[in-house]
Amino acid sequence: MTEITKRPGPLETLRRANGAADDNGAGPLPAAGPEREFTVKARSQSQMVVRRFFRHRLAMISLTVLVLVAAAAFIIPLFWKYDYKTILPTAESNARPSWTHPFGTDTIGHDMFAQTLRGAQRSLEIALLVSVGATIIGVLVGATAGYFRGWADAALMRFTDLVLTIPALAIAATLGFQIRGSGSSWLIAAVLVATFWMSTARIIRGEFLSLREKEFVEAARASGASDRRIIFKHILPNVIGPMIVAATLAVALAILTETALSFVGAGVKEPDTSLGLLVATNQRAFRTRPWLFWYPGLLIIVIALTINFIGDGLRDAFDPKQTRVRA
Amino acid sequence: MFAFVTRRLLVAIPILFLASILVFVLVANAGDPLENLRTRPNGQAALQAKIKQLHLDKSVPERYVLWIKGFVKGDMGKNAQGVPVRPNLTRAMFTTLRLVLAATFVSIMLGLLVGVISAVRQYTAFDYGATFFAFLFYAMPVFWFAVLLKEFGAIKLNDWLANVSFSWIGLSAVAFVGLAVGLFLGNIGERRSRRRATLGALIGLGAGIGVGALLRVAFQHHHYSRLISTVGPQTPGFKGSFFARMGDYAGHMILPTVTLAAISFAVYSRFQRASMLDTMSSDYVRTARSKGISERRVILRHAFRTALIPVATYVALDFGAVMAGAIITETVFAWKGMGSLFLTGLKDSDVNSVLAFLMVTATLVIVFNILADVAYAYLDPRIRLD
Repeated sequence: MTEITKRPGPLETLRRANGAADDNGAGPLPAAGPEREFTVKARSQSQMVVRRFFRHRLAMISLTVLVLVAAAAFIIPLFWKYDYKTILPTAESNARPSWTHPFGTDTIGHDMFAQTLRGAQRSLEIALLVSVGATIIGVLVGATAGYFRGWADAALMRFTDLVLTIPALAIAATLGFQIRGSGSSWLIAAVLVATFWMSTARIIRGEFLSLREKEFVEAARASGASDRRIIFKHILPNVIGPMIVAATLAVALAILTETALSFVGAGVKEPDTSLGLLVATNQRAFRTRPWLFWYPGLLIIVIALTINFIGDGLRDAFDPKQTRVRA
Repeated sequence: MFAFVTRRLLVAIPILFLASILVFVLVANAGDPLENLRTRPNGQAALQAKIKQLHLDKSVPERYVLWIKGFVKGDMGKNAQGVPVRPNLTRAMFTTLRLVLAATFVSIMLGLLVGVISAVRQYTAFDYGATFFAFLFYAMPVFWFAVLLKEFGAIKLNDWLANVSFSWIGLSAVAFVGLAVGLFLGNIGERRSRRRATLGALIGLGAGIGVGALLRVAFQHHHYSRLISTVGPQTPGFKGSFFARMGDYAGHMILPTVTLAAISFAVYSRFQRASMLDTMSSDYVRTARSKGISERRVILRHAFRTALIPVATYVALDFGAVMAGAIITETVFAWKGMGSLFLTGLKDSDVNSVLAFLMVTATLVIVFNILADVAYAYLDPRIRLD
């Protein structure tokens, strides 16, 4: 992004520089004046990306909403009067939304507000872990395959193809049933990572394949840099854009896949909860007690939607073509 | 071309083989298929028989060898209840294929149509509306959407059809649908015109009311009044004429198909839009325009065809996701298809059923990928398959 700023022109600068010396101490000229010219202000690549992202209105709104939701999910439970595990007396179960129970209560007698917040917490936690894990594995696999090529590439990519032929949910459910009983975020995230790393690996491999032929890599190699240094210091910073975009979109997809996993009974387990589990357990209550169904579902949509918009904004921000007028 | 397809199919065999080993080992170590028998009193004899039947006294590699020997001969083994898997699989496969192919067809057609129109009419109300719905569908959990559809697309609609009355809400719903269709029709084509949109909206409104009234008359004298069903692929024991049976199938299929198609539709339309925008601003499209070719021809012959290439890859890659979506959709709508074969197989730690599911879906994914490559060569004259 080239930013046009008003700066004193070259003539003026020259005059000013000489000014103090020979003009009887007349002092520098005032900056304002008709001779001002336009100069280009230099910005680093990352500054440009950040600026473009901040100008993306939808992405910024989404980011704000997402931060608010996440903050609510993690902070409100600390002082909310009901815990997600509290089971209220029978008289209070199946209550409609009210001031005491903003999201109502379910059949067992849980406060749905506490449950929904806990669910959002777990879902966000798992999704973040999945995104980070899938990005790390995807980058390692993709970078190795794309940089070294040859048999490493062939082996890794055939393995990627192999995993891709099995539907992701089938892998996740098979692995999810292995860990049944344990509802730990780490294990569920690990299960999901097993189905998420492939797309990142493919993207990163493609970038590495083209970047490894560039002159700057050749220069690095000529000056004696090790393979590891070339991969992490020279090439990887150039693929940070697609990497961040893929990681962001993986968060949204992970939230949705986790809900599907909980729905088929291979994800988060009672008494703990996630947004997906809440919707799954309450789907039959839809006709009689719709509030059990609406709030967690809408929250899933809000989270997934905002993350997708942020991902879109990031993609635009990292796209160098965007310096020109948006088509 | 023939050589290409043959080679790809041959390459698929080791992939299927490795995938089956992977899944076999995972499922065989997952749980205890004898759990129910163990807790049953006096179940010792039954337990021994089951162990014999499922070869559980052998090690996992030995069992795999037994499985693959049977598989090559076309025997898929028995499930946890001791019933052969093969007949179950055949039935499940056709049920699921019907659903998946219908949904894929609908989502590709609608996705391409909407994608092209929103690219050609970029930044119009249509484009914004399509974008909004695409993002919304993409952010929705499948089963959440399915439950909503069940309530509003089936139960409420059936209630309304059983006793059609044009209340204000019903009328405005019909009017809204008509209006949307009208605006849609007014927005496509070479020239957008407000008059055509208005006309379309009015016709849509009239058609909506007309169809509603027709349905009312048709269903008043029918022996069942539930047009759209939410359970199973057909009404059990339903007998009737050919058309009545087809109607029954359609009534059962419509909601699962819509559910499954919605998400793929969202992705395809976004992809098609992006790729279409790319080609529309390319040099050869400008050349075609400057030669004086009509806009319709420029869009359909020059831009659309090239824009299909990235989408074709994506559709093939996405097929696994559609199968996964089918697992969920079938569960919600109580279809006995591949999804239930897989899920009950997993719950019973029944290796044979899970592997049957895997082999069929993996083969389908591979076939779709080959089809995509063939489509590629057809769409892009620079690519030759040999």
